[in-house]
Amino acid sequence: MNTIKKRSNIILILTIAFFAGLLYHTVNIFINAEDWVINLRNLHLTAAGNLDYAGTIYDRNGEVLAYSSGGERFYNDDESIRKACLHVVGDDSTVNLYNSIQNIYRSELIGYHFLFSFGMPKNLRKGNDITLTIDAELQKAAYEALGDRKGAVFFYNYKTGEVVCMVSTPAYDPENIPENMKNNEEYDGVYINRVCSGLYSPGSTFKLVTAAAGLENIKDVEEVVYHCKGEDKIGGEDITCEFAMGDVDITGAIVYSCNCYFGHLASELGRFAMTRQAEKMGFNKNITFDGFESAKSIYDVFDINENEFAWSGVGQANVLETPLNVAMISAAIANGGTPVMPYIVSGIGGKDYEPRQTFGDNMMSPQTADKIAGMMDSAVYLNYGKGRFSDTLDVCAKTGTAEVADAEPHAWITGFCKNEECPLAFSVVIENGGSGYGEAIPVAAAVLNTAERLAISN
Amino acid sequence: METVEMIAFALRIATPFLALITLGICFISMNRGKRENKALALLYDETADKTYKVMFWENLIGRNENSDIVIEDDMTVSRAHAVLFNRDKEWYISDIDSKAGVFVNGQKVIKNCPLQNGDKISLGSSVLTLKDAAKGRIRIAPYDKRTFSGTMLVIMTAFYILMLAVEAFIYIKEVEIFFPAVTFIAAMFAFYWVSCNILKRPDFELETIALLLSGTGVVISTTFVTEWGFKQTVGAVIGMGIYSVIIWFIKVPDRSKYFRYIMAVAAIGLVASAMLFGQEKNGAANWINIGGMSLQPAELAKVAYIFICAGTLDRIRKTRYVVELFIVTMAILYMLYDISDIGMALVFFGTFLIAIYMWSGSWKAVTVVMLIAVAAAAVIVIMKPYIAARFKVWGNVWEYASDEGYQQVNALICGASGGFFGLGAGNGNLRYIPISESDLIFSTLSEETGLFHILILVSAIGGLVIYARSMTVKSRSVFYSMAACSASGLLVFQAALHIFGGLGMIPMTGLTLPFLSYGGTSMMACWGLLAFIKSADERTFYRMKPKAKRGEVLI
Repeated sequence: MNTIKKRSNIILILTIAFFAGLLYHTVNIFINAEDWVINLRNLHLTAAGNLDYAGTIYDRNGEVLAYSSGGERFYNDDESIRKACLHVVGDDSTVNLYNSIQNIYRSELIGYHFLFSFGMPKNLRKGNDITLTIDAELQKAAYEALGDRKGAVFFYNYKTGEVVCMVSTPAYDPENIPENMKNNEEYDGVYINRVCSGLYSPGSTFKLVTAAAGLENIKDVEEVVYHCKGEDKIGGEDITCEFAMGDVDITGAIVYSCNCYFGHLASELGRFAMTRQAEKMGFNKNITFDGFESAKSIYDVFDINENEFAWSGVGQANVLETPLNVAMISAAIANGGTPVMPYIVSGIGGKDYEPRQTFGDNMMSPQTADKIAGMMDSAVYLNYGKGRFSDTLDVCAKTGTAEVADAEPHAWITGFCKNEECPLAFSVVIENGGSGYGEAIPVAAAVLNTAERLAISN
Repeated sequence: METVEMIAFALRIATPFLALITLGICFISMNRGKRENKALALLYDETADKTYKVMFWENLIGRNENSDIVIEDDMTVSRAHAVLFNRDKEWYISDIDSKAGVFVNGQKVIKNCPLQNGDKISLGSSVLTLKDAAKGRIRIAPYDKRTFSGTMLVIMTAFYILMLAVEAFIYIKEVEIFFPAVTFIAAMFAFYWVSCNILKRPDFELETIALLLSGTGVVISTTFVTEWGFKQTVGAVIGMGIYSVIIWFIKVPDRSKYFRYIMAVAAIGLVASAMLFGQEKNGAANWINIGGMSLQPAELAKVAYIFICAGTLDRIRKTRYVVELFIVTMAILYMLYDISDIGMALVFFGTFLIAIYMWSGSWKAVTVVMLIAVAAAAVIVIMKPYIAARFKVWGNVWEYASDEGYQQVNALICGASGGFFGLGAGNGNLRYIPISESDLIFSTLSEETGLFHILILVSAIGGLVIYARSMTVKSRSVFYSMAACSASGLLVFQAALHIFGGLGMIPMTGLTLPFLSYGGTSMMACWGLLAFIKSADERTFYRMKPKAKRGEVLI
């Protein structure tokens, strides 16, 4: 019997392991439960009605964007602001607005606590308030400037990282949800936050990447002068410009947006150098800020022919980019080569965050950044017209008109304000909106003017 | 609406505490009622003038220091010489192939030899005289000193099950929720009555533990499908029957020895029936249909297997029995592999390891078997790719959240969503994941009744091992000790595979959680296994005699 007693230690060891495993799981719950429950697979989290007792969402000026009262969720009083903020704030009746504060910060809003989790009766719950860096008026200005066109507008402070404007259209009113959104052309892709998840052909805005690659890799690239005849042959096929530009150097090619020049430059640099530079500048990787997840901008040129590769150097062919990525490139140029990461949540539960100012990966050397900034300055001065923007802001910009098959081109603009009082970097895209020069500039200008009027950076 | 929500909230917090109190009382009470550590008999060595205390009902006598009665300094005594044991109030001695033999009053002992007080037992050159052999009364702490009476425990359990059913009713809102629970409670009282008055069992704590767990299983099955609750109740009632029959059957330890071979055939036959007539369900072909009832014969084979694992003291050292066990185990494992029931194969293998160690006491043997198993596992992973997939997911469930890790990720999310006090029985989301009623019941209960609650319940399963261990030296024969250790080890091992597999800490094997998962056969098997633990408690076989002095029982 003594032997058996001794040998029964084997089941004792087993049982100790069993209890240790249970303890491990319990500790795991203590530590990780909150990460686990905010997963969007969690139907408890995303169930409609869960925000009925949730906290309030404010913009940077204390304007209420969303709040709960008497077991119901309400949004801003102004219909345009409600629509303009739809993709940032979200809609409690759906989980389809993936990249939105009410989805990402749902557990904070409803006052999640691991001890009672979702088991806490609703009337005992106490939700946390969230303050955002966006400006409701600016959102409204951007939304109205876009009108009924589909597109995206993204403005953020390239010094601090505060996102002041993030608008995606089409949008709908969360307090008055239209019934026939499915199969309705007007609401095509309404749940997509186009700033983060919209992948567009970047067109000429991509020339900033090719220019950076050239400046970083070819020593005398600035000395090279190319004679543009409006068309040329690369890889046996055509590459064309809008018009014959004559002799252009790299600055001229940015200012007048010469495709032939950048097609040749890309060919010269080769696929490896171009891919390396594109990946430095945010392509082929995910960008995430405050839980907002962007799609991967795509630069994959190894399977295309020489002519298509030349076209990829001007942002055509198979290149795709998110408006967020485009804006971050401008922010890097404005900021000496390294972009500041955007952030949108400035406080949760009454606690205000310190300004975060975290930097992303370096995109180019400070010299290159300065040179490209100069080129973008010239583009506004010599081509787009200084008068189209507010004088005091010193806007530097690059437009784009991205050709797409069988439709109007996407209209693009990206840039930044040199003025230290209003350090904003931005991107605007209008889906099948026409030319960047004609259509995108007014939208950017409208938002910039409002920003200046509101003295937003202060 | 708000009032109802508050009531449900209060119930969710109160129920686990009731479970904790009930289970706590059971374990404390089982511990308190044990026999005191007093010698059952004395062996007096005249030449050395030394008295040996006989502490157990079955004692190994020999020179080996692990013997129960160690005879030192006599080289004529074998390392394991003889067994002194008690059967039906009589003491016997039996020779276990000693070199010098055993003599009682000068007569050579061939088979079990009955002893009287004063008999002289010669082992080699040592002569021992049996004295003061206990035949009279052994003190056992009476019921009322064991904190609570059985009736009180059953009432508490019934109350607990009703509270759980009310909680489920709040969320499911169908009055049918109560029917299986009430049926179960009725069966529980009937079982208690039979146990006290017909079987004359002196205590009911172990049964209470099993009833509380089974009752939880019944209510939670009902919240899935009402009919399942009834099936689960039927499984539990049949289980109680199996439990009582096994206890009755192994009352005479020698009887079960002869049944080892029958049980070996039964275990192999049951698994073979699954292999030959099995129908596939959820990836493993381990179900057979008999007259409209689905059974998992491999579950019942576990009960038969415990018989084979439990040796007897005089045989414990013989390699032949290890070889026999090995052959039976390999046959079962091969057949389970053939029907892809890898989880069940693991349970048998784990039990086999426990038995191997308890028979041989050698870590070397355990290591060798483990190494063979690792090699076999490698072969399995190559031959059955879906098992390889489980290994791939192991430790990275979040990366495979949409495919192979789908169940585990949902188990983690839902489990965490329930917090410590749950969302209410029937109010969870994990139940919508296929076969969560059996394979993910830990996390389902964690989500719906709360982590605190489910931890209390599974701790009771772990507690069975602690209880079984404390019984090992108190049982009437090594057979019971071995059986209890193997059975409780099996239950805990299976619970561990279920829980940690479902949480992605180890590869998922699709096993049931003892007593709690939906599955009638599993329920029956768990009750069957519990019988071995109950039998190890010497008190089980004391008849309650109304005329015996209060607090004392006759043996």
